[in-house]
Amino acid sequence: MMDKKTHDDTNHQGKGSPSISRREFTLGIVGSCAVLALGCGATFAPRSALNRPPGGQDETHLLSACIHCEKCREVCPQNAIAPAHLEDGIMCMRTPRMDFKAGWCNFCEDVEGGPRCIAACPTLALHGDNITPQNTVIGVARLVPEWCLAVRGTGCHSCVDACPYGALSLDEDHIPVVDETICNGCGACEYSCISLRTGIITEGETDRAITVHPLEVR
Amino acid sequence: MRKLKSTRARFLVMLAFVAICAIGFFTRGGIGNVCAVGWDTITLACPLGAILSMIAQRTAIPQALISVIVVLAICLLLGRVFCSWLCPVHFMTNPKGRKQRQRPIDRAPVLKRARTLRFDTRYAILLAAIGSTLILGFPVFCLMCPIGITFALVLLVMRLFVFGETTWTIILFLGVLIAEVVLLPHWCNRLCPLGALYSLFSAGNKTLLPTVDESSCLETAKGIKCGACQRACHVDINLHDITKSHATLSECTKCRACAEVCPASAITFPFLPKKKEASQGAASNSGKPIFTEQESSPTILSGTKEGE
Ligand code: SF4
Ligand code: SF4
Ligand code: SF4
Ligand code: SF4
Ligand code: SF4
Repeated sequence: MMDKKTHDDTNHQGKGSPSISRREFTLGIVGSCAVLALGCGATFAPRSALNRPPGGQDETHLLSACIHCEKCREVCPQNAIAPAHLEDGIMCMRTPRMDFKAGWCNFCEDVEGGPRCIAACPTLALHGDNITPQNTVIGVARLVPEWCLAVRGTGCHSCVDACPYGALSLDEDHIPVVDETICNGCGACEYSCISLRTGIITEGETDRAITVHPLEVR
Repeated sequence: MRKLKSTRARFLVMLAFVAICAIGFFTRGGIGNVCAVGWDTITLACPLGAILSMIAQRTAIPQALISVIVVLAICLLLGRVFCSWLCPVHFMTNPKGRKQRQRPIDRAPVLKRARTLRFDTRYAILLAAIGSTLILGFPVFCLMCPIGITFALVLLVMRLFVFGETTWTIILFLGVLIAEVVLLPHWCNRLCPLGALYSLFSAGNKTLLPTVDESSCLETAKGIKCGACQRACHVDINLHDITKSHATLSECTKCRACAEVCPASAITFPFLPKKKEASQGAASNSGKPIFTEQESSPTILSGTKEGE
């Protein structure tokens, strides 16, 4: 109420001396330091390398530009993008990563104007002209033989059939081999791999037998 | 406190906004969310995110720059409408209404002159958001922004139910949100850098300002100590004398609470300030105009900057 005066701290300033109270000043300083401290903490927290959508291969650039709007994830016609989580590092939270369990990336070859994710990104965190499956490398596929059904003589070749770029072939033992010079990490093989979905799962198998890994050197 | 009709209307508008974004999560249209809302490749990015991203990249990005300019134009025309009509955090920070507030009207710092803009702690956080991005090279504030986190939580909870995707992020975001909007007092009025940016952008807003009709207002016409409008205002604007106010008109979020509580229905939001009032000293019982000609430009005065 207007007439109920409660002078209990420094908040009320004398007439004509417009300055903020000590409490407000402290709040401003503490708040600002908190923002900076959390930022530093996030920068130095460990983070894992992730498969990024096309045009997001420069990790430093992606992290500096991405505002976590998730538009790229939304527009991907292949449903291949998912948000990264705390488990991937604080800095990476809500940034786009490839989820080859849910879809694989065809680099939007069938879409006019190229990759939808790049077109939708408002901050150019994903960027690049003339992105093609040939000039872009998301990561590289790797086979874990202990988990692969073909190694156990089941005659499985789902991944080989799935690879649109001919990077997978069967060797003389009918085991899939990745040609790393051709593989662009599109994830079709991982998406199609049935090793975790059949009755014969190896003990200790935590992932599909063929998975895409980000390149070591960026 | 009884729920105002305008509060309900605003709440529904905000819910509709969240719902549209939630539907967008499962479409391929690219509706996005509060961080960048739009359709397909047309996007209106959050002005703070856009600015921070450009600072981090040290270049101008067309889409981001356009977003900032469009938001600036909206603020010039409508003021800080985002805060009370679209922002979910606004509704989380004031759950108990007026009672929880801590800025008694009679303890507002008294200013020598009416100002277009007044610096408060929110601007310190805004500077920290910009500074940390300059130093660390990524949009630091976006990591902890409660508004973005609210939308992220909606998505994560939906992903949890649809895909069974579990992650610690949900727990962390819930914790951050609780810390920021429940434990920290008055996020909106004291800390939110996005709110500060909107206030800054709204400094030149001259349309749809809340205006008191002095001939019907109980205080000015009958001398009754009413003060209902100021008590209803969630940013503590004193419409009668802006010099005795915690906030300037650039902080008005057009929530319409003041107009609704006024027993004499004396408050309106005319599209343009009335000529007569402008020359007589608009709606001010101390004879001081809320805005004078010189001050109508969005000049930034340093009076209440921290450290003084
Ligand atoms: S290029 Fe197309 S398919 Fe690949 S991640 Fe981007 S939107 Fe999805
Ligand atoms: S669209 Fe761009 S800014 Fe938005 S989440 Fe994807 S990469 Fe980040
Ligand atoms: S091996 Fe797998 S990731 Fe590599 S190109 Fe073929 S399908 Fe794509
Ligand atoms: S001040 Fe910030 S949190 Fe509050 S309503 Fe405005 S944008 Fe939302
Ligand atoms: S002046 Fe009126 S419309 Fe503006 S924020 Fe205060 S109560 Fe809402």
